[in-house]
Amino acid sequence: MRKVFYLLVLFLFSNTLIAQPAAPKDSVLSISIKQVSTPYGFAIQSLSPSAIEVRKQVLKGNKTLYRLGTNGKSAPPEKAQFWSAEDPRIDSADYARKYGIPLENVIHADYLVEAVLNDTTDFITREAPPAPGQTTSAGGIEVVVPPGSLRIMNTIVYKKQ
Amino acid sequence: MDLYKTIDKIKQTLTDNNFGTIAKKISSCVEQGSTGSEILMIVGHYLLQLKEVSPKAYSFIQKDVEEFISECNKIGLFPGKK
Repeated sequence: MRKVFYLLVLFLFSNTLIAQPAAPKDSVLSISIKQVSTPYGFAIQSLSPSAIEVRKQVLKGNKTLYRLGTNGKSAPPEKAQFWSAEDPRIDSADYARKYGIPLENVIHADYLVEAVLNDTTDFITREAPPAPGQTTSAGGIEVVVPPGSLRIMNTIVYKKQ
Repeated sequence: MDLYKTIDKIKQTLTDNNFGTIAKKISSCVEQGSTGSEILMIVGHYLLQLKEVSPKAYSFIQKDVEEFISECNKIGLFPGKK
């Protein structure tokens, strides 16, 4: 029964995307149906107040996005699609919890990339899923972007705090 | 729901049934991610591929994979969907 429900939701989303006339760029209607495709599948826009707030900041064009990377493991920054709205240097452990990642991914990170969106046409904002050992999101807002839509500002050696 | 718990359960089942290499690959998927959604998408995509790539391994974990994907869908992530 649950599967049928999700398939129905998916179907409605797909049809909405095809049939919906272009909505004003910043309207609730336009963000309610947004999704970003990745090589692994697609993710959809969250309508939570915090996700919408970060979306507004990104739309202004000057919001710095952050991404930790590990040499030989992480997607290269120019192809990376999953970014965070917060600087991990402020508190590494809290960052791992807020962004739903194992602490090891932060501890073993080699570099930190800072970027801004070049093209604000297609991106989404969403709560990070729960971290290991948690059952609810700790509220970090992710920004998911199409590949190549960011301008890399800095790539710096990551020093754990 | 703690989706990492589900990932650990899937890895343990695979290891117990002599699919340790696949379990290690799942750990590698987790290490690749920079945000939680990226991790769940990479892991979910990989698990769904097992259906074709290693049907026997998949048969041991099918129920947990389906639960994992269902939980991802609930939070707006659709691994394996284009």
